[in-house]
Amino acid sequence: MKLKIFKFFTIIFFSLLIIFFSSSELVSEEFALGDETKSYYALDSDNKKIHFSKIDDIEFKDNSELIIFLGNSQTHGVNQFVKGNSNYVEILSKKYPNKNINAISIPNGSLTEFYMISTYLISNFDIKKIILPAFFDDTRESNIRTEIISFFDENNKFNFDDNIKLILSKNIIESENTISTQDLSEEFLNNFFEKNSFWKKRESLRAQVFTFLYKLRNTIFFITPSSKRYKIEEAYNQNINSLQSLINLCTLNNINLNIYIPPIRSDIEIPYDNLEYNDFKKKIEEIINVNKDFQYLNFEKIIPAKYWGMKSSTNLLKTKEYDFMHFNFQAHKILADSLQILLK
Amino acid sequence: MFFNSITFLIFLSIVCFFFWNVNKSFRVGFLVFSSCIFYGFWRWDFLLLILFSTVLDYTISILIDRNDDNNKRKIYLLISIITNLSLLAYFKYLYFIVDNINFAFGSNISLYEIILPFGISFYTFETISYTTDVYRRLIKPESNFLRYALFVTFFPKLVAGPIQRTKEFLDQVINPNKFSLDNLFKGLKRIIEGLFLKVVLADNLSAIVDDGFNINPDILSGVDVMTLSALFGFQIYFDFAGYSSIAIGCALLLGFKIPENFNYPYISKSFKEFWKRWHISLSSWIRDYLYLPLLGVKVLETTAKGGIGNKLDQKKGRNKNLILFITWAIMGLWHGANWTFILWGLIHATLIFIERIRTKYITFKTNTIINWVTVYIFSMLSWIPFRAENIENTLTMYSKLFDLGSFINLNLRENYYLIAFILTLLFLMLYNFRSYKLAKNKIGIFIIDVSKITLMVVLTYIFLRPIQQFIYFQF
Repeated sequence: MKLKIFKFFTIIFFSLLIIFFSSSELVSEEFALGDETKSYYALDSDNKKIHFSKIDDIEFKDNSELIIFLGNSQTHGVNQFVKGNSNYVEILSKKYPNKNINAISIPNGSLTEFYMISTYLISNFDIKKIILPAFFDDTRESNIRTEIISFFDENNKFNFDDNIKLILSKNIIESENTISTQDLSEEFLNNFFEKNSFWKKRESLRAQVFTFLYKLRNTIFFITPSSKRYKIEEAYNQNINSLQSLINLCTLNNINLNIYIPPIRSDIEIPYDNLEYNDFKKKIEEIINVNKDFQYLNFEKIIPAKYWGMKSSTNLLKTKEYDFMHFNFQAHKILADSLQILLK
Repeated sequence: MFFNSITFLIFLSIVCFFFWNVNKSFRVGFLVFSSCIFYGFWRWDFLLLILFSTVLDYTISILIDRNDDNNKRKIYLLISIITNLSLLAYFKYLYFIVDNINFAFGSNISLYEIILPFGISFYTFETISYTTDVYRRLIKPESNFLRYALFVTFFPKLVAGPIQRTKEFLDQVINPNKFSLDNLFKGLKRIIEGLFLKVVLADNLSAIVDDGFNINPDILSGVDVMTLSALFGFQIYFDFAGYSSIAIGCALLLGFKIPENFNYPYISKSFKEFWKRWHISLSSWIRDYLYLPLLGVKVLETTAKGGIGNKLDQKKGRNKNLILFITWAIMGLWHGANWTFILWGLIHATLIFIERIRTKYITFKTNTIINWVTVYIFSMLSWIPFRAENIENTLTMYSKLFDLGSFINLNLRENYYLIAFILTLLFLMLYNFRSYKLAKNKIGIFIIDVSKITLMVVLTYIFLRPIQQFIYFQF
């Protein structure tokens, strides 16, 4: 029995020790970008925010004739960031102060998510133009993030196409009409415990556990950012359908839609299957060209190798890896120059 | 109240403290009161339903016992069974019945909203087993209403079992165990293990399983279907075994022993063995109160142990195989009011039927690994109707297993295959390298146990959130 008591207290002691000494500093998004890349959200010449990362945060300074740049972390990620750097959205906004330029960029944002966000924007604001990069990488995403689902759950008045309605119906959990005593007590207790830093750090610890598992997986199976990412049929079709819906929506509302193939580093082998990637580009061009007012551009090779960077290790071995997604400020300038054509 | 919540952990601590500190004569009443609070935290109004069922079976069992006229005894038993099953049918199966009537006759009958009371399938089975055992004269009815009420409402097993037999439980109420540190530590260990299975493993698996089953089944390949079925197989195992472990742990803290429900089901080498290891208390209930009576076998003892046993082959004359299929269809239907659950039951009946034929004609010993692989693959595949949205999706998914041309096309994210593979491997490793097998001495066992449980405590602390109900709550 003495051994059992000793065992009990040893477990308590070590558990407290581990939780107490675990770092609470981990922001999942910054981890995904890596140490070499920093998130930067564009400001206009009056230092007002014109670049948003969440649909709930969108608040345009001026609601007329909006030009919206959509994108993933390539838009807000600046590799080898130094003070004074910015991104292509800010560069363009400052260069064209008379144009109402704004941006929304979400990490790994899929075409489905951009279609949903665009639906919201078109229904609520005076949108003149939408500029959207089509990443092959993000056609592998079929999930819609919780914050977008709950946003559309609460604002459930949008007439999405059947494809999205089906996804939403599968994801929205119908809540019971009555609030149980348990709901009330959980809310009370959570609010009470949230004041305690020991309890509060659980969220960061959860992120650390997932990060560790992600790195462990990459280490065991030799997965790196250069590993081939193949097409996932269901997710791919869902995203292409969403793009088609976005084209229809813009045509119907007389909004100018422009789609470009984003830059990717060309000094090393790309992490896609060449055949699948070429098919993807062809497909995008084919569906965008149906509407003669819409433009398709290919920027995949515009950024020279020297402006790309590395990213910190995504495995447990601490080796630097190639970053295929994020480039430095000089490259943002080049991309801004290339995108100008769409603003004229 | 959900086990995977802070509310429950606080509730449990308070109940345990007062239970061991109140006068012994108040303990039963205190536990009944606590159990009502436990249930009322979800819905207070449905406590009346439990009270009705409790009073009914308490009264009827006394009437059955006092009566020597066999016909009257039978009538009393039928009143109890029909009333209990009618309540179950109303709350659980009315939508299903009406949907099928509408489908068959083209009618358009609509229903108002009916809420399924948590735990109704479980406590209904317990009360039916009680009156049946009194009728069979296997037990004497309990004269103390509070004791019987505690048997029905005891909160650790109220919502999702394990389904316990009255005698096993009431013996412990009449001769209560004293407080022991041994039970306290064992109970805490079981609660930690259960919470770990639920909040760390099952809840995190649930996200990817839900996404996987949301995919249009038309584009899935055979390998995708096998992977998804294995992932769900693990999710439901972690979820339900986690729940059962917490229930057993809570009961131990209060000095009660309730039966085990799981014993490494996925290492089974036959389907008969699988059902001795999976949801043991339900399979033994089905055996004693449905299968054996239908076969015409007189049940002479009642225990929540063992699954489908050897007794099945004893009776001659009745069509064993037909009864097997009927029993399993009912068992499927018990899980949920949908044709998919009936199909799930029938699949298991078919697998057991094939196994019977195989053992009858193939007398030589078959390879253990081949047996395990066969049972593992088929038991996992059998979960598809349990999780798929409808029969159509189930059949589409099954058809993919025969589409050999595209069998290995991979349409899921790489993580799905990796997780299914790793979980299978880990399950086998955990079974084969349990700490007492791994370590040769007490210090070795101590170190392994401390590391294992510390890891579980830390991860449970990090992941504890009542974000997902237990799957079996909906049954």
